[in-house]
Formats: sequence, C-alpha cells, structure tokens
Amino acid sequence: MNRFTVNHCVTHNGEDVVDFVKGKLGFSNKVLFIGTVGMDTISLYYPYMLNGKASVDYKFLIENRPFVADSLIKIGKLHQSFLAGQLGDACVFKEIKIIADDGATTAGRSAVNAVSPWLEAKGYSDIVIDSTGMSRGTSFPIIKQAVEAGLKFGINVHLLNAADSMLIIDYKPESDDRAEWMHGFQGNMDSDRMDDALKLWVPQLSEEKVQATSTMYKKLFPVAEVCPILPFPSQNPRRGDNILFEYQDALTQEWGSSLLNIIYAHESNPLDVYRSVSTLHGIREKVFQETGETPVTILSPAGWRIGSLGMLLAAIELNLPVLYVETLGYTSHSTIPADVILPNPDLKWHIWLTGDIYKPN
Amino acid sequence: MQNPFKKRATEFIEDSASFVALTSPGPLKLFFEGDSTVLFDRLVTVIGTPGSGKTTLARLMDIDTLFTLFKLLDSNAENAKNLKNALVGYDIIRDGKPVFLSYRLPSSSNLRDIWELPYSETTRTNLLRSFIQAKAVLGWLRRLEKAEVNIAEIRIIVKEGCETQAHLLNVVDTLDFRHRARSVEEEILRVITSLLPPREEELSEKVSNLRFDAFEVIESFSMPEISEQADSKLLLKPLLIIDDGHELHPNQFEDLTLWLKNRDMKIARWLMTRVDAISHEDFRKALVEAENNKTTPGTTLGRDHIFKIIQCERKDRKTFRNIAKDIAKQYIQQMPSFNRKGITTLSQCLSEDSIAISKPDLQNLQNLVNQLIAEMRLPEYQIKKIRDSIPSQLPSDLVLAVYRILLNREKKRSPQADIFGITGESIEEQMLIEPTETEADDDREISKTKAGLIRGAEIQLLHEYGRPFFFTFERLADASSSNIEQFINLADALVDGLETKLLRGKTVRLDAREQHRFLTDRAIKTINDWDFPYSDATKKLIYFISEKCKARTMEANASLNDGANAFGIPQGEMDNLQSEFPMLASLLHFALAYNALTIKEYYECKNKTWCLFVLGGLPCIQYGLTLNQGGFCEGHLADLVGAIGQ
Repeated sequence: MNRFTVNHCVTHNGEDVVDFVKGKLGFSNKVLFIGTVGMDTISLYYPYMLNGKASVDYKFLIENRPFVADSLIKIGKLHQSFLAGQLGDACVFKEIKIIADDGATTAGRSAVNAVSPWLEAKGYSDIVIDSTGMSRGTSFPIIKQAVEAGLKFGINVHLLNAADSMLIIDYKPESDDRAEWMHGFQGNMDSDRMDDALKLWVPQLSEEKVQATSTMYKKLFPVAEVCPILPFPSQNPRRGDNILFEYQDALTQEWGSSLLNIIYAHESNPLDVYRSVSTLHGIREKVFQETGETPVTILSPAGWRIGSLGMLLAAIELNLPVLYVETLGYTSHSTIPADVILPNPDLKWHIWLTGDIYKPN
Repeated sequence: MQNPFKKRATEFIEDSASFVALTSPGPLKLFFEGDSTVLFDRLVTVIGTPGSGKTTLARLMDIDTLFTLFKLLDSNAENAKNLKNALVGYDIIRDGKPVFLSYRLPSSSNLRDIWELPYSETTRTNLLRSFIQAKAVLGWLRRLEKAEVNIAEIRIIVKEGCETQAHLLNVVDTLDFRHRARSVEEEILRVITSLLPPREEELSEKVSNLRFDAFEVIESFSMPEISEQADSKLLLKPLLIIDDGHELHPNQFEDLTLWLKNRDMKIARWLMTRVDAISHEDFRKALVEAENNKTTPGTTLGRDHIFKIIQCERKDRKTFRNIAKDIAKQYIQQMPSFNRKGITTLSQCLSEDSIAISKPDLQNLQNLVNQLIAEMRLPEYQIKKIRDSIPSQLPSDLVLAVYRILLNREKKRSPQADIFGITGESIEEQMLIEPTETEADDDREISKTKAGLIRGAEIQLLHEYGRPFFFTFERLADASSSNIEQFINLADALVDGLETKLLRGKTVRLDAREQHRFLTDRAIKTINDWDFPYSDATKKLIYFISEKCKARTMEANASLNDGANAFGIPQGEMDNLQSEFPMLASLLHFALAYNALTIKEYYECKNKTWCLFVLGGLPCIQYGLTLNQGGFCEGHLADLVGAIGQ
C-alpha cells in the first residue's frame, strides 16, 4: 500500500518544510490545495508561501459556528479578502456548518460533502491538506478522505501544519456538551459486538478541558484503562505538571486511572504521539489475542494540535476510533487589527501521507 | 471504594454491588409513587436535568442490578433490603422475581446522525425505527446473557395475532433472531458511519433486509429460572429506555414520540430527556398538572402518553432534604475511615451553631444602630416595642442586625403615616408579611415570617462582616437545586475537609465558618469550570442578576425579608424571545439544563404576570444570596440581553 506506516513515515519539519513546499510542491504538475480561512492568522502561512504558483488550485473551507464573537468574525472576513486579493481566481471559498440548528455536530459530514467533488476531480498530481487553523472535527475526516482518494487514484497526498506559540489574537473556545465519534472514525464502536470490548482510552490532556474530557469519559463508560497523553518535553517544562494538576481529581478518582498510566509525548513532534499510540495498541492486541478478549484503543484529541496529528496518523493506520467534543464557538476580547499581520510560525510540519515515495522497491 | 463522593454520579460506578450499596430508595419514591402501572403500559417521557437521577433510575431497572440485589439480600445488607422493599412496593419485583427486562439505549450521535443522511424523510424514519428495534433486541438479549442465561433457552412470547410477522423475523429461534437483529444493526451502522454514505438508490436495494419491526410482535421473554427450581420460569416484560432524547433532531423526537405512543406496542418504553427537547406547552402542562396532582406527583396523565418530571421542585425542600440525607448516609457508610470513628451520617459532622462577628465588628454594628435611633427620635415605648419583637434566643449580632432592619422599616414608614397614624405597616405587620416561601422546619417561637427576616439579617451580616451563612446540612441540601449530582459535588467539598481533619487526628466536625468556606470555594470552582455551550455568556447573565439581587438583599429595610435571587420580567416579553433574541433563547436552554437558572413562568405578583429567572444554588452560594424562592428584582428582557452583550 502506497501510504505511510509507523515504520516508514516521511516527514519534514522546521525550515525543511519551507524548502519542500517551495521546491517540490511549487513545481508539481497540478496541485489541489485544501485549507481553511478564519480568525487564525496562521492559516494564511502556506497559501501565502505558494502564492504565484500557477499550478495550484486553492480551496478554502470556512467553518461556521453558531456562537463566535463579532470581532473574530470580522478578522475572519479580513483574512478571506486578503487571500482572495492575493490568490485571485485560483481560490474558492466554501462555507460549512459545524453545528446544526438543533445543536448536533455536523462538522465532519459537512466537510466531507464539501471536499468530495474537489477530490473526485481528475488531473491532480498532488493533494495538499493544510490543517493549520482547521478544527479537528473538520480536518480528521477530510484527511482520511484524501488518503483514500490518494490511494485510489495513485496520487501524492501531503499534510501541512504550522503553529505559533505566540497567539496574535486572543480567543477562548467554548465546548459543546456532547461527545461524538469523529465522522469516519467510529469503527465498530457502539455496536452490540463491541459491548464487551476492553476499552483503552487515550485522551490528549490540555488546559481548561476537564469538563469536555469528562463528557467523553461518560460516553465511553465503562472503560478498562485510561492512559492520558501529556505534553513533555514542552516549551514550558511545567506544562505537563500544570495540566496534571487540573485533572488530578478526574484522573485518579472519577476515571480510576493512576499516574503510572500517563504517556509523555513531545509537544512539538507528532511522530512521538504516533509511535506511543502504535506501540501501546500493538502490545495490547498481542496480550489479548492470548486471552480471547477484544481490545480496542480509543483516541481523543484535544488542545495541542501537533500532538493531535500523531493521533490522526495512528487512527488512520490502525483504524482506531476517535472520540471528541466539538467547539461550539469562540469568545474574544481582542480588537480587530487594521491590517493583516503575516504570521511567522515557530513550528512547521509536512507529513507525506500517500504517493510514489511509499512504492515498494 | 475509598470516597464515593468523588465519583459524583452513580453511573460511574461499574460494579453492581457497589451501585446497590450507594443507591437510595428515596428518589424512587418521587418517580414511582402513585399508580406505577401507568409507567409500563404507555409511553413515558421522563424529564430531568443532567444529574437529576435519570441514568441512575435506568441502571436500577437493569436486570443485572436486580439480580445483584437478590444476592446481596442473602448477605443481610440493610440498603439492599430497603431497596428491595421499595421495588416490591412499585411492582418491579413480584413474588421474589424481577418483572422487567430493561435496556438503556443512549441516543448519542448515531441516532441523530441518521437525520443527516442524504435520503428522503421516509427512508430516514424507517432506518431510525429499524435501528432502535435492532439495538433494543440485542440489548435485551445481551443483558440476559450477562446474567448467565443461555440465549438458546430463551423463548420470545409473541403478541396475539402477530404470528405471521413473528415467523418472518424468525422469532422462534432466539439465536437466529439475534443474528438477524445484529446484521440489521451493523448494516445501518455502516451506512451511518461511512465517510460518504451510499446513494439512496443503492440503499433501496437493501431496504427490505434493513426492516426490523420487532416491537410489533414482542410481548415478553420467557426463560428458565436462573437459580433453584429447574422447572420454574421467569417471565420478563421488556422495557426500552431511550436516554438523552434531547440529542435527537426535533423532527426525530416528534416522530419517535408519535411512534412509541402506539398502544398496540406491548413493550414498556421510557423516553428520557432534558427539558429543552420538550415543547414549552407540553412542559408547562406537565408542571401545572404535576403541581395539581397530589396522588402521582410530577405525572401528567394521558391515555397513551405521560410526562414524568424527575427533579422535585425547589419549593419542595423537605422532600429533597430527606433524599439528600439518605444519599449522604449511604455514601458515608461506604467510607471505612469514617465508620471506624462511628460516623454514620454527614449531618452529624456539620455544626449547626452560628459564629458571631468579631467584637470590633459588633461594636461597629451597635454604633450604627445607636446612630439610627438617634436620627429617628422615636419615643421610648416605640423603641422598646421594636426591640421586644425580636426573638430573645438569637445571638447578639443577629439581634442587632434584625433590630437595624426593623428600625429602618419604621423610619421608612413614619413620614407616610396618614392622619390616623395607620399605614398598614406596623411592626407587627412588618414581621407578618406574607412569606414568599414557608419553611416547615423554622418553627415554634420564631414564626415562619420572622425566619425569613432573620435570614435576611444573616445575609446582610455575611456581606458586611463575613459572617458565615452557608452551613448546616439543610442549607447544603437547599443549595443543591434538587439535583443529586450537584448535592454530591457540594457534599464532596465538605467530606474532603472532614477527611483532612480525620488524617490530622482532629475532631471530625466542621464549624460554620469551615462549611461556608468549603461550599463557597466549591461553588466558585464549579462555576469557573463550567464548559457547556454559552457558559461564558451564562456567567455574565448570572453576574448581572446576582448584582441586582444583592442590591435588593442589602436594602436597609430588607423589604423582601431574606432578599432576592431572581429576576422578573413581564411575561408578555417572553413571546418574542425566540424570534428577537435567538442567542439568549439558546443560552437559556443550556442554563436551564445545567441548573444555572430555572424559569418560573406565569408568576402572579402585584397584579401582574411575571416570568422569573431564578438563580440556581451554585450562583446563590457564590454571590451570597438566599436559597429560598420568591423574592425577585423587576426588569425587562432587554436588560438580560444587554447583560450578555448580544
């Protein structure tokens, strides 16, 4: 199969990504670029970098949520007109509904429906999914969809991501109160056959998400084991400890887990999360094969996005279910900048998902 | 289990024996009281906020719980006996055997997802019904399998006249029937969960295979008795509990209600939901009828459909206090460290003695009262009359605070006296204003009315001098908004404090100041941690209402006795809520669901009809407001809209 595996995953990071994007993607025959545009300035980074390359078709999703501060909506519009001005006729914007009128999450389904005709179009040599600024509920399903399209049509699929530790615009997300299976990542969960499965839950812990994480636990209950992932090493070395402090009651009392179950994974390296999850899942599969029981590893991405990419890779390769809580909206006290501030991210990643590079020799 | 209070909700307790040990029969009474047979022969919509005990009720009906209960009876467990007696009384256990086989189906994302499929409404409706029926059959059989019943030995009793349909579904062979249900479930699940679902034309080829109308034929399940006599049979009536009905699309909810109302169905069915899924009219009707119907509280009787409100009204404090007391007792008894010290109830660890303000503060208060008397220049006999009207057994600081309120009332009254000196606001009248909410326990020498005024004085002392107010078990229960999960969360804060004392070898008892501090800290933390939709705006709204209420509470003459904890708007303004202020309407859905607020509509006061936005127990603690209902500040919908910055 011409796609990544845990033992062979081609990636670039830092300035190598810039070289790759300008050197390889900029000169590809025909590129389909799928990104998002909204309040996150950082989402302008890659499209701006590729600006001027005639071989690129740009498609941007605009995530519509019911409750977003006016200032953030205005900033989003500012970014949209900036991109339209820079990229001209080569770009298309498509609005998708993240939350239905009755409060149900429709992010993944809306995104997949929007992206489907783009992926079906013929003639592309490369598909680029820029998940920078894209929410997990949107990016996970369309990345999986792109991987399937890449394998079907034998084309290169790339995943780009950039992150900046310094936020230009200050905002606070508000979580929904429902835990949902990520669209396309449910596997056999909730079927009668899985009723007796021994669930290992691997939530990514992050700041101010205790309630949302507990909502997920409630949906999964009963859970055989909880192995949370904490960011370490991290830019702030105390970050993991601070998060752990927030979750102490939930972790040890409500979820019945212990400090020995914690997985530490590099804050800015998605492959660390990917390898940890793969190893854990592999060991469990082996052990429970002997006992005749059905093990299942459930992933829950939240907070630090680079870590979530590792979860995504593991979920695609190992067909793992993903449970999450969607963001309903954002509040903000930021003022609207007069002009677009071009981002300068300190983390950049490129992951080559499918393509010739994985062709067996 | 070291500290069950940390589990917050009994649904997080996996082991059935521990669940039985912690479950109080108290809340069951609220649900099953009256003619409980109506709960099993027609559709019952069960309405309650998160944490009100819906899922616990569903868990209690589980066959596994009931079998565990029988096992525990052999070990002479007291709570198991009490629970069993309650269940026998409600006809859930008959002749020492369970009567129902329940399965709880969470609505979750899958049922709602069917609505999003790109198919005609008829196809989606059929998929939803088949999916629910397949899941229910699988769920019932799975529950029996877990109870070690051999599936092959189960016989499904078919409704009279439905033999042909039963034959088509192969009901005779239970294993085959299960296989069929499983294939329907998995096929529909595949359609729901695929990234891109198949086109409707492709699906229609399989539609006949996806039909599964089991509810039309099933009447009951028969099987050999699990224990003892081999020839004895167990006959169980299936009960389907669809939980979290509010997660369905409104059209699905409506269709499901219509379908399950069909009286030809022999299975029992409960549809559990938060209040926001119910139409305003239905909910109001349920509330009004619940209040009027004394024999079956909280039940709206209908021929084919009834509503059941699971959370008792906050006005009914005594009922919830008893439930809370019972729950706390069950929980404390599961804590060996407390048992070793002979502690069997939470209330015995909570001091009921108030703590007076400091001497300098007392002197300061005395000076203020003296100053007021000097300003008023009242005749001696009148001052004496006011002073004597204050109950003598009150602590000195409280006496002064009440005295100050009464003097201020007199001060306000004096200039308005008519030529005969009659104002209708004499001291006796002041002390006997119709109370907004009576307290059955505030008794004897202190009249019920005086109790409200004294509470008002206590709250004023809290704000001015930091005198503890939120202490005693009764106030803990009152602050729980009649919500079991909220009670456990607040009680946990006190139990934490008691455990610390225990570890330090100190007397395991919390004084008023400690109780007040633990409860206030926990309320503030819980509110800060709120992460439900619109929680940020909800916090703003609550702050706005609280500040208004605080101002009313701190009025020198305490015109509302113990103050306000609600914001009232003219009822008519609510008609335009959804159309003009959709965000506030959405916010209110969640604020109600999470006990941040309750809404009391059509409240008659001062010859006007009001809609009251009553603060929940946690905001009342955070902002130091009365836990009793009735007092409110007047305003308009526009004020609330302005408060959240819409």
